Amino acid sequence: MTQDILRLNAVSKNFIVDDRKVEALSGIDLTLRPGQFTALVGASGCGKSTLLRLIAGLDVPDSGQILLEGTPIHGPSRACGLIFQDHRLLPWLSVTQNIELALAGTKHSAQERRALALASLDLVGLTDFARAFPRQLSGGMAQRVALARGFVNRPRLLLLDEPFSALDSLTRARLQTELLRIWAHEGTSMLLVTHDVEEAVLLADRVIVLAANPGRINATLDIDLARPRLRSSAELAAVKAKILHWLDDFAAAA
Amino acid sequence: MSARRWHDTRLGTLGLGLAFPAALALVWQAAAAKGIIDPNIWASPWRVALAVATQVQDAQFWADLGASLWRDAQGTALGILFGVAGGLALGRSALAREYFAPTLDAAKAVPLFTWVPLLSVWVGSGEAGKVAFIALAAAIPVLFNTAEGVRSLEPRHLELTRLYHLEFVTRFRRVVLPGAAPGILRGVHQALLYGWLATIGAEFLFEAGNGIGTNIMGARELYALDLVIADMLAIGLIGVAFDLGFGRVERSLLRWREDHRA
Repeated sequence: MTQDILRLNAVSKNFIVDDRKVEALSGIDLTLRPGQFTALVGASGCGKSTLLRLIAGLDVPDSGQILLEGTPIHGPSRACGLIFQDHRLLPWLSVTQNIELALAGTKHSAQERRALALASLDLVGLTDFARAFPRQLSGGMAQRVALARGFVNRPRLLLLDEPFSALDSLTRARLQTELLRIWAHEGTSMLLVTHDVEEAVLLADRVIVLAANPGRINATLDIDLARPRLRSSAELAAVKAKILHWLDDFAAAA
Repeated sequence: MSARRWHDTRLGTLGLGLAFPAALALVWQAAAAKGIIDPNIWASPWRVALAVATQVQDAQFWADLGASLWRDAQGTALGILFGVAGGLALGRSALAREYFAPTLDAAKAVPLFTWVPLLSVWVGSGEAGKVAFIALAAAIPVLFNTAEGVRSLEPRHLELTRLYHLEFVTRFRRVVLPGAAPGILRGVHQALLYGWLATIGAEFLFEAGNGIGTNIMGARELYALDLVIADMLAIGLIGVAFDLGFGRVERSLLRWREDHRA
């Protein structure tokens, strides 16, 4: 039996807004198996980004427990990477330096860091831009560099917070394919937050649907469609319609 | 796309910039030649040109210029050092800000030259006082601009330092310093100009010693206004050199801010 990569037990998080307590997340139970691609979908305001920040160790839950590979988390961990909605590259560092930053606290020597960064850049096909500054890149290229940075220290779990939502649809489709290729290559466990149901169904082994107020898990669906999946296939459209229908129902019930 | 007009070219800009002083010199020279103004009080451009030639050959002039530049370098370097250190602390720590900022803002409103009597007593009216005065003049713009630069760091960028477990040195070298660099460099740029002005001011206001300011005072005693103007030209030229030179340094260090698509 393999160990779960991630386990959440009754995780809750509140925010104080205008002196009033707002329940952002309530009683989230979640288990991710190693190598699995999981997608979290839900309307905006359902706390999906909050959940990701908790798992990344950037915020602390008010109650409940988050176990990464069986160990309770205390702050950000190298075993768990995070890719933001904005590329979040430092504008004053070159592409290579930005990727190296993710290795800054590791035992690798400067040469090893450089080599790992370039290898990761190769993974996303941007070796020609190693010395460029972020401002010289298009949005899609910058997000690919962010992917390279996310993968460079070989996290066992990679969290993706709507990483493609700011991109045009063509670039988004290209990067989705690219992400699947890297996932197949690296075997990293993935947890993708998205509001794009088609993206979730296209990429994930399992889709978890969140409802809002308070954010909670409302449904879980295993996607058994064979890979590579076709965006235009009827099966995919059927699954997508089902999830969209659920989301509509939750919205109506809320 | 659009053709550059003649005054947008480098040579055109330079010519246009020099046109006004050239016209002024011509009118001045003509007025002096016609006897409209007293050339002993209003040194004519031609006499100023001769004075420049005199100064260039005068060892005392070069010694004074060197003394001023050395004084300026010491004071400005000290000021930048304290300014950057203080600005970083002020920008990074909300506590330091709340504690010191009101005092500093109030102190900023006090004209710099009013410090001269105090500094003369505290540090001495000789070399040390002058350097301290220059340091003070240089530190103020660096302090405020550095603090502003650090405060302008974006939380989303600082969050990366947590995500990647960056230790203090890396955090400073890779995130805080370069992120605050536009502010720091803006401050240093101003410090170079303020420091140079303060150098000449200190030479006027503190105990007489060497330096280009003292050189001017000496020329005034002799009523050699042409030499005074020649010295002024030298001071201005050095100021312009600092301004243009550091502008280049600034642009090259902040290359990452330039927009050009690959």
